[in-house]
Amino acid sequence: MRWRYFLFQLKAFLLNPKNIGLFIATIIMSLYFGLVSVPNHEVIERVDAKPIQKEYIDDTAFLKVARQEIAYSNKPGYFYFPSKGAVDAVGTYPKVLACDKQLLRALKKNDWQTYTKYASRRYQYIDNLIHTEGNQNFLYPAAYNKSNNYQQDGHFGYQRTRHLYNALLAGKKNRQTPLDKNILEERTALQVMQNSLSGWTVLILVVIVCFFTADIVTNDRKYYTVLENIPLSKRTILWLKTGVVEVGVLLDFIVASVIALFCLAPRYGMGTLRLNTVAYLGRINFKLIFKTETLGMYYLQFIIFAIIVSFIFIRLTILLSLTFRNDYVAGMLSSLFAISAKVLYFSFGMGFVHPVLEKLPMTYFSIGDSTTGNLAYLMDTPGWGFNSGLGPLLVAMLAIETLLFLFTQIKSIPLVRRGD
Amino acid sequence: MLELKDVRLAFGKNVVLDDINLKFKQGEIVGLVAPNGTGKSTLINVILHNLTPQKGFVEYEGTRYQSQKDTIKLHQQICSFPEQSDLFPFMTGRDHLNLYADLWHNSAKPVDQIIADLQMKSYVDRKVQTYSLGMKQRLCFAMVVAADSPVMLLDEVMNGLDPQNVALISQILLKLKEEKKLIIMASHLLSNLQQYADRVLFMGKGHIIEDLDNKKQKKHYLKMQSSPEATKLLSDYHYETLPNNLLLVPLAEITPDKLTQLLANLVKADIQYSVERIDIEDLFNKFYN
Amino acid sequence: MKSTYFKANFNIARKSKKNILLMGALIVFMVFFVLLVGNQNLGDNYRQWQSYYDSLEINISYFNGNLLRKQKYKQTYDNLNAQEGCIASLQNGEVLESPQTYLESSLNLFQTMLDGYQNNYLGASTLNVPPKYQLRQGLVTYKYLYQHHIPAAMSSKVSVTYLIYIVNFIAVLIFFYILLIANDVWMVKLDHETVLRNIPYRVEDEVKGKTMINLVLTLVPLNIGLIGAYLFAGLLNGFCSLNYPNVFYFNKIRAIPIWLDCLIFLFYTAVLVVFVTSLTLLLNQLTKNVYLSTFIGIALYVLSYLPSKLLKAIIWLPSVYLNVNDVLNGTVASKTGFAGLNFATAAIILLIWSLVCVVWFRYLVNKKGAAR
Repeated sequence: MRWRYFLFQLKAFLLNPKNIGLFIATIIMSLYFGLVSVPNHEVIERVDAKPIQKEYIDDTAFLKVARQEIAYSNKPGYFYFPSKGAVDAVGTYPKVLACDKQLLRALKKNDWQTYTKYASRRYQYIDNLIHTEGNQNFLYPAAYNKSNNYQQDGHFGYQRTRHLYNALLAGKKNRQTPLDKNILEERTALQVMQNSLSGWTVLILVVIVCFFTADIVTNDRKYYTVLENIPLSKRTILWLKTGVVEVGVLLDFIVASVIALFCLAPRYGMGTLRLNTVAYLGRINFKLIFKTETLGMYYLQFIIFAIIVSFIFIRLTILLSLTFRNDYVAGMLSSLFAISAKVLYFSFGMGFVHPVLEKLPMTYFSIGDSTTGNLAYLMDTPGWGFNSGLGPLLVAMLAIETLLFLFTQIKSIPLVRRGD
Repeated sequence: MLELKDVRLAFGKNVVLDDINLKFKQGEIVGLVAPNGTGKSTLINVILHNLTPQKGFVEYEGTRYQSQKDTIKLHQQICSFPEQSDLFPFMTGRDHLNLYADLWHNSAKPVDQIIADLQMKSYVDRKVQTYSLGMKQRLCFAMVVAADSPVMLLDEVMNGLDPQNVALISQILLKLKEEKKLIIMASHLLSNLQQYADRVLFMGKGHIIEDLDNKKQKKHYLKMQSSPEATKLLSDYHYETLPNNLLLVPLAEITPDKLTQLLANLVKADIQYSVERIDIEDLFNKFYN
Repeated sequence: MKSTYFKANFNIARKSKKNILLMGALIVFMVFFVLLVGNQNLGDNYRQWQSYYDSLEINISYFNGNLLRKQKYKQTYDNLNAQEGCIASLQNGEVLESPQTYLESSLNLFQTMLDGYQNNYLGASTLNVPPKYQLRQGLVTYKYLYQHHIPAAMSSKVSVTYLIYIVNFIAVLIFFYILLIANDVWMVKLDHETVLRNIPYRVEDEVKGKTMINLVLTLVPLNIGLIGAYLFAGLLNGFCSLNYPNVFYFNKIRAIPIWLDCLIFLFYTAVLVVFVTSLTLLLNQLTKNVYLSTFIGIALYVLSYLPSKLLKAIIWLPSVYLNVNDVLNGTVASKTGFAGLNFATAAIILLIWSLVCVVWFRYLVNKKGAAR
């Protein structure tokens, strides 16, 4: 009986025009993602010989002028003070130029190990110059300047790149993971997905879950007399419906990721789950800034969060549709709840000072933001990651389950009312 | 006057209406009787122009469905009975009555009058989602009354109503008839139709099998259950056997002497009999079993 | 339009749970959002200028770093220094609450920032200067204040600046509100077939009636919201003249008083209602599904976020005209590069599309009636 009912509901779910529309929407979005968005995505730290070459030539010329300036000032009898730029250049350029030379050589030979090693060294050196010593001959790339916090964002960007390079290098050395241009630029399919599955992208997927669920209960009123007397308890019916949506959502997401992977993999390679990646720990000035984990580990955490979050939203939407007896209102309200954190405290800039947000489930709905540590960076506080998110999410789940339990206990509240 | 002329409608090879010719007068209650799936609803939908016949036309007071303007003009005159499931659950009964009164805008008859007539006062201001089947059915009927159009098409109006409500609505139907409304109703409640219908149309196989003038039904019949004795006794008379084993002897064809003798024989043989008009239910059995 | 049709169908629309919720939400949001604006200093210039100031500093010190760059990019260097001076004076004006200083330095700043574009800020690679049209939008506002001797308001929370803030904000999203109001416009009929199928009205009457209903459901709460926003913010933080300017684009970017801007906003919104209603009528009839109609509507809006290279190719579609704010302040004209795309052109394009939708819709409805 249960199995029959499940199949019946699943069929109704898959034939529902709204759900077909959602499926098509997801497919279009993942096509857009794979064919337009990712190829046009600007990688800030590109692995490219040309800019290095240019820097090498420019800076060599500049160093020559600076050296002349200093030699000039050192001539006995002259009271001439060389410019700060010239002094800095003489002090710093030789080391950078040495790195550049190694990088160019490695690129020519496609020796990725050497390239990675020296690139990481170079990032560390320049970052130290800009951030710690206040040297003004070097600048972080303008592209880092996203939240109008140039100095900090650039520092974070360089540190992340350096740690990523080191992690990839370590992976290559210890576990023979691959290493090439696309991997360094984080362009392989699995790496791109890792970086993209955060923020609004995930929230849109959550909203899709809400609308998948919105009418699963209320639709029954169309077949009121058919379904009125099935010998299943209200709770069982709700669980079976939850299962139906879970299956539908899973199917939708699998189709979407397969499409995205198929678009990306031929162009940039698939990458592997054994690759290393880094997650921010929340204290930029500590010794241990990033922790290294494999992509596989990352995805595992991500999937655990994803399962919890989608479960929360399916059950929440069901609860809301029972409360308001209107699929429309239920879908809208739970979608609003899903994006509430992003809109309220991130877009409007609330919450810089409210550590209580770390305990709210809404903070973690965009999943990738917390699992990569970007949220910790944004909040300038450690935590906010997988471990801190698990608690609030589970509490939210429990609260919703309790309410649903109460709802199903009360005899006078049917799942659907006649003529609802 | 509403007229259907040579109306033919087929779905593929299935001919549902086969050259139907009908005329209806104002102030007439017409019953449509047929088993399910014989084209009652199709006929109503043709009158409403929801289905366009392949041949023939529908005409009311000289207007046919030719342009959109004609359609509007005709729909202003014809109102059909809504289905319960199409009511707005979040609106009250009064809202629905106002909806139809406003949309047709045919009369100044106050909605309150209709509510009082149909005894809906106790629940009319509640939302429709709280109504029982019977309440909704009464509301649907009241909506047509509120539209107050000269022609009313009622498809199974008595469904789901208890005897008191059937009586109530019948009474209002008679009142509407006095107001010169043309009321066409499909119904399964044959004995109820018998009471007030002026005409009863029996449909079958795309045709009108019988156009019965219910009010002019004066012929009396001698009725009895079929049995070997009875058939033996009746061997000299002209009679009909209905599929439900009822024997009908038209009295007009028997001379008084013969009748006296026949009745005496029947009593002697202990056969129960009655003398009455033929009723719709009998005809229904005659045509469709 | 038949008034009986309007009356009857309006009664259905105003009792729908969805419509009540939406109208309530719109009004509450418009009126009470001022609390958040005041509390969080949203739309406050101070924070915005602070981060730009940081970016200026970095670039100036980059040039300061050595003589060579200083000479090569002298023009940029001087411009950046001038800007720094303007911002400092602007922030002084803000702290000392001197609208006059604030106004003058704002004017100077925008002018200087625009001047910087003469050599495209050559050499200042990490400067996050806003695009030209946004600078012009800022400039005209302050010029207007200057010419009309209106004291500059320095936050978005007093009556009139909040009104401007909320008009600009709502203008971005009003399409979604209308879409949600209108998305079941024809489904009401399709879902309640036997109740509404054979009513004595022409398709044209129904289209007009439905449009009228949606106009009422949109414009009435919008007006209540606008007036409520003005009054509530005024009571809370002080009133200001309704002559305060907002940016408006017709043949060039200019500033017009907010009351006029509100009228134009309401007019254009009305045109948008006409368009969205015809669109949803068509989509309802085509898809027979509220959600699908809504998704397609949203997809149309999302198209306007394509990169401007592609936007040029789709200016004949309604997409770019759905964001009322972008149409009214000239962003559409700037992004697409077509100077003629002001609100009047946009309204005409939307009306043409409405006509297309209605004709198509009429055809579908009539065809359906005839085929059966």
